Amino acid sequence: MNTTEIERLIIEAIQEVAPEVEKNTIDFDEDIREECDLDSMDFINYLAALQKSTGIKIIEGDYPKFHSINSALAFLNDKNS
Amino acid sequence: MKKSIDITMPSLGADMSEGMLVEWLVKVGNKVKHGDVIAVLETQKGAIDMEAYYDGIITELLVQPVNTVPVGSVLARMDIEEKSLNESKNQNTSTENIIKEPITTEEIIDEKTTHEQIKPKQIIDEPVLLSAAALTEKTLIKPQKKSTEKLNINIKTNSNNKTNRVLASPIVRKIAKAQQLDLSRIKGSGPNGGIILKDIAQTAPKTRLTEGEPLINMRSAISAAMTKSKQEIPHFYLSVDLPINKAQQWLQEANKDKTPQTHILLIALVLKAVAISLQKYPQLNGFYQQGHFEPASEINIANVISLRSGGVVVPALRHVEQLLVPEIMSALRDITRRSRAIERGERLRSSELMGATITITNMGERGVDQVFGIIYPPQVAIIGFGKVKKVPQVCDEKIDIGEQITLCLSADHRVVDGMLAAKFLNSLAKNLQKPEKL
Repeated sequence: MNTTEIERLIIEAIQEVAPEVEKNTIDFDEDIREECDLDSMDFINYLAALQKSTGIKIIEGDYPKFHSINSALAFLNDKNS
Repeated sequence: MKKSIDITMPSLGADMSEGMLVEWLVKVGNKVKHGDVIAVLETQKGAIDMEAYYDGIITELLVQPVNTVPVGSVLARMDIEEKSLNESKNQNTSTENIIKEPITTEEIIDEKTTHEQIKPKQIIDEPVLLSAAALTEKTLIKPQKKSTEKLNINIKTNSNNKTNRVLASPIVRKIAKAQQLDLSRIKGSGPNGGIILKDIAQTAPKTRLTEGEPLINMRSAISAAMTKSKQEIPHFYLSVDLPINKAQQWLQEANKDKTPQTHILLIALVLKAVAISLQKYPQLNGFYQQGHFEPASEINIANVISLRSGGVVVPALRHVEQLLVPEIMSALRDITRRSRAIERGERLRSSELMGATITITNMGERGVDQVFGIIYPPQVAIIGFGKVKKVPQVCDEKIDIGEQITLCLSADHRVVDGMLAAKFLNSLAKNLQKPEKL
């Protein structure tokens, strides 16, 4: 997976729980829970979808790294390399 | 011995007066089992998989899709073994939560069906089908597999084939066909430009999904149920600040190294604590109907789930008292995900929208300190949860920083008094201090 593919999977995972969200409306540096109006249940469903699509294991200690898209990209790129 | 029974448009909540039959998934002569999905309905709550409540054979399909009919209208008939009826009767039939009389409008169904109304005992709640995602996704009968083909599956198929096929869910196609809408002229707002139900409504705002019947409005449905509640139910309210330090510690330990699929949220723990306290105080778990209260034999907790496009659905988790906390969490996750993805073709099941015996509303996620809910008739209580707050707590003559939530109980004064409600809240508070026992 390259960065572009990971980014696509992140956006798709967000859209799993927030179908109306579009990539160009999200600030990649902001907390996606606020940007995309996700509650705790949405957030873990987002992470579950992302874990499934990327195949990269995400444990509770990693959750803060998924608060913004850019931090999630960095984490997943690192795990993927 | 065989017995013929009516399959009626179910009441999937106090706010539902009518529903639209979108598709039959069975034919006359088909054998069905209890829990099989036999039809797709479109309601204020979105598309719903309607299940059979008995084992038997479909003998008549009386209403053809796509048609809107009042709750209680006979849609079909089936033959069942009388033994099966008796077994189902042993379950609590009072959990059918119809509060409205079926609306008598100028019917679009056959005249012979209009005079027949729902017999609550015929709709028996199914306790088995809820919870885990695996259960809700299981293939029940062949036609259902076809019907539950989801939008995203369509998308994949389409992109693989590189054809110009219009992306739309099966329900959208069905309705479009019935209304002779040209889907290729409609701009889809779903993923990859797929056409979703909302798009059809937007394309022709005055379009009626069925002849003679206007689009059902979720807002007015909520309004009707809540107005009825406030007009008829003498609510009283109690609240308590609940320390949750121990619960949070337990969760921290339980979630250590957990993946998102198995992560447990506080709400799951709270639901279990509520169920255990309700076993001790059954006066808050049941229905007030026809002038008296009937306690329910099972604890089915409805959760208010706000939809992203506005409005709410209130699906229930069944037999919460029998579920382990991780099972409650799994069921909650699944039901929340499906509720919020209805526009993408996900569906709730009719059994999930029937038989709730009490409701919980959690507004804490939205920064609210406390929420005093309006009881969903014919239930007699609703419990509201506020946000988790860090507060100074006195412990062993010292002040520590601890965490608490405010829990509010709205109860029906026709059924319970303040003393019992207070005891229930105390019991709930105590249960949450021993999370390891939940």
